[in-house]
Amino acid sequence: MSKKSLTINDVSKASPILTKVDNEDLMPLPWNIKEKESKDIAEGIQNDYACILDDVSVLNIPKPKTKEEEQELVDKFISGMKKSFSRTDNWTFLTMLETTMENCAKCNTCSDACHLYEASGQNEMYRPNYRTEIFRRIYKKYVKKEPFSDLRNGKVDLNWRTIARLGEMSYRCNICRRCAQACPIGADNALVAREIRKIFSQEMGIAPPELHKGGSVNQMRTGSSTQMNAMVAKDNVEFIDEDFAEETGYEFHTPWDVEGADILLIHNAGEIMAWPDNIAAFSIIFEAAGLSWTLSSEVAGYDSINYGVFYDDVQYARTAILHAQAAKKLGVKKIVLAECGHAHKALTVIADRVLPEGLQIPRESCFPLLRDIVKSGKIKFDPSRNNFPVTLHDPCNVTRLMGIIKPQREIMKELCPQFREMVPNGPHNYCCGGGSGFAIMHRNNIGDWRNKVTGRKKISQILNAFSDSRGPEIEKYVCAPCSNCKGQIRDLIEGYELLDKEQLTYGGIVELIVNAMVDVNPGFINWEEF
Amino acid sequence: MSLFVYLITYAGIVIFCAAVLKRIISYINNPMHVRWELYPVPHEGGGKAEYGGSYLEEVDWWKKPRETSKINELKVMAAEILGLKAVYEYNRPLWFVTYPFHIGLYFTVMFLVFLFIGSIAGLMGIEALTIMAIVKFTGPLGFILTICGAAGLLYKRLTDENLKIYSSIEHYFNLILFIVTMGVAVLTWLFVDPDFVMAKTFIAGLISFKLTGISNPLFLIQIFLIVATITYIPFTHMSHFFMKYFLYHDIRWDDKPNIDSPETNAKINVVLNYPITWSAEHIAGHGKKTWAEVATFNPEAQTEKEQ
Amino acid sequence: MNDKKRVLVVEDEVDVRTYISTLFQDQGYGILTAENGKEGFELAIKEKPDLITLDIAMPSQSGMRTFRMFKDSEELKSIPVIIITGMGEDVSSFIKRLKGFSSQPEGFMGKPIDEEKLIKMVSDLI
Repeated sequence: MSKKSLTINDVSKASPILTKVDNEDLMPLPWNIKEKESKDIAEGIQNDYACILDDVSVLNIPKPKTKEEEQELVDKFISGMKKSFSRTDNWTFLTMLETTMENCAKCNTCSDACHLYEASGQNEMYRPNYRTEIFRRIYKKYVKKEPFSDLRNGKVDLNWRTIARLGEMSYRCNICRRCAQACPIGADNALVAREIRKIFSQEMGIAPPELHKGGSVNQMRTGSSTQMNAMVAKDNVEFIDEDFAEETGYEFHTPWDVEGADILLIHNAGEIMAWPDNIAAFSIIFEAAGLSWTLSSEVAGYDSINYGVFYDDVQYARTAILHAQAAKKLGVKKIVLAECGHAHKALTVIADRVLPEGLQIPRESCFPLLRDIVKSGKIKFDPSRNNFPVTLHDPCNVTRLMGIIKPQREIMKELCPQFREMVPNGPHNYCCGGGSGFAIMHRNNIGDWRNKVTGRKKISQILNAFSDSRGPEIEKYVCAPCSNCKGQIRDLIEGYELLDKEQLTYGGIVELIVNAMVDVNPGFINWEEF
Repeated sequence: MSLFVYLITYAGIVIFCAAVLKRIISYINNPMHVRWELYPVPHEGGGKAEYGGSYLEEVDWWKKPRETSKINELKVMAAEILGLKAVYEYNRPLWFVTYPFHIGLYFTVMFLVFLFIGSIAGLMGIEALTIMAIVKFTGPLGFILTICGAAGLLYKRLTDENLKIYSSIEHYFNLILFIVTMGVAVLTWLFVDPDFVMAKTFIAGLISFKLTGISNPLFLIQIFLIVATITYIPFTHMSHFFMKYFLYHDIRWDDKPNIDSPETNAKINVVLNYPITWSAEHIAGHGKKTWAEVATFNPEAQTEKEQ
Repeated sequence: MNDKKRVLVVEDEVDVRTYISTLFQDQGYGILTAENGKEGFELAIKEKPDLITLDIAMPSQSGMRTFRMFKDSEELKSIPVIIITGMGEDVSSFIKRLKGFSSQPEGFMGKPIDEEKLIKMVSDLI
């Protein structure tokens, strides 16, 4: 079957898979990099789960074994879809969902905005409107029960394959909302992907293990999705303090549970073990600036992640409330979110109309605060220490979805003499490819897929930003001030062997700030420890 | 026959207004939604809108006065409404056909508005030559542009493989309806009513309830088609012509923060007390009935205590 | 049975502790158990086991700190330690990254435990 001629109703057909992206389909990269062969989905997974969309399985929908189970999958989905259009069950997003269902002109203007559609060589399945169109036709016919729906909205064959593929397809989107930004009408196809994920999680109890069981559930159980309980987190941060005080020659101590501090800083706890430099850098800067601040050891109080944002409104609300409760307990004046994009949006923007009175502790991004510190003159900097090519990745949640654009750039311009922008950037940036939870997924061949398809546009942008400084002789740095983006960019650099070939490394923005601090030993950022 | 068309017109106007109002009221009556804005938000002040910035770029933003710019918002709206800027930027090939279509409709609407004014003036005994000159200009221009645009859109939907997949019978029907309606309008203008005198008389009759006089069949067919088209629009995705206001202002650009707002807090109180019936175990499994109960309950902490 | 090799299982969750202990017992190892890091350290000093398995997320004292104590202790540092945790590979990269850790764990096992792999790991080490 030709990939480009995929029709809406192919989604219901009894073919082994709907489509797949082969190496020769992929959008070419600017630097002629050889593509590796992807692994296949492991056989066990193929037996247990409905791997019928393409050659990746993210959601892992249990394969129905009988006719009854097939029907049950359909019925449960429809029952969930009804709740998506209920003003009480889905008060959070009903308005956005309804308006997208009713007003889309199906003009496909959104398609070219999508990095997955482009990277996949314009595979129809990745078109932002494809999954929406299937969802819409089901909605109009089976939930809204519009008269003459087939004529008005187009036909849809509803069977278990339609549902299983639609579910899996909701995880072929980074929910970066670049498509929504391009929409002339204001429809939001990324939102529809999220609404499908919600139906699977909230009604059918099916969600990727990394997001639910290993993610939000872990966070509520142990305090962090990393499974670090407060004790482990505190011990690890103490070790980080000791280690980096020695390494930097700058004595500092990260405060925990200081009642009445001005600021509660919440890191993405994944940083503690994966990027201890980032934790140390924040502590060094905050201490050097003389801020009154603290970390919290409450459940979720030391881990800003809120994976509910990616797949489940209830898990979202629970986590946001836990964060606010941690701040309330300490009596801080405000919460500052460290370098984690989805946590930024979850707690500052979305929580704004979720947190009840009494829990509305003010919340802000770390970037304006860091900008003010850098510009305040309290800390002495030597920008020549950052005299290597640096480009800045804009996390979608921070830029397109929150409008925090300039503070990062003011820091870069102050401290990085060879700063250069990616194109496009700011609110029009491209997602790193790890968005909506993919960055933490390594299961099966998801890593290959992230490198080849979801992260393709980003690696292409990064390479283009450094086209004047090719080769392993010139050390280069991608500043990606967001844990998930960082994870994705790490995997891209590793996958395309760009540390060896191009001396390309990555990190956050606080590392660049500390690297330029006069009071700190030179070489905070180095290209040996990747 | 003339009486019948008059009655259809009244009915059409009523149905159109009712359908538009129904959509708007239903929208407004929806519960408060969470914030889901998309930048650039054009009413951001202090030069922020230009690069897509927001008030969240400031430390302690909740303590600072919010700068907003209505003018900037109007500028962006003007570019979008008059220039179809988003299509121009993101889908140029489509813009070349959808732009004449939309501009044609704008001219047609102007034509109707000025015809209405002209008719009122006529009833008051004023000749209103300028008004009628505008009518004579905007009408034919609107009809022809709409036909060209609709034909272009139809051609695209029929030939562009990518659009074809997403086009239903309704899309083709709508475009053909516009071509036929506007086609009849052009014919009427050319052969029956070149100065829109008949049209003016018809509208005047409509306003003054003097439902008599016009018997030209082509003219009556034209009225019938225009009324049918207008009545039909709010029942389709073309309702975006007014719903777009909400999609932009109330969703995309709605960045209003809740800083001790009694109004927002009252709404939060309402939504958190809504019942919740999602069936998955982590939601339904603990006997909690409302959003507030479910969201303030940590099922995992409970499990550990129970052990 | 004096030459029976002994494994110290440090794990706070009773189910997991029993599970690991039984697994090793079935392989003919002698078992010592401790339910937190502090107790584990004291027992290790007293009993000098041949191998230690160590959980990370425990109350009162983390496995990370306990691991450091094992490796900083002249008496215990030669005893192989297998870290058993659901936290994933980041634990080992963290230990590698920080100079404060004088050495690496001899083994690393994720949760859920791969029994065969764990048994092989232990038999290779002692």
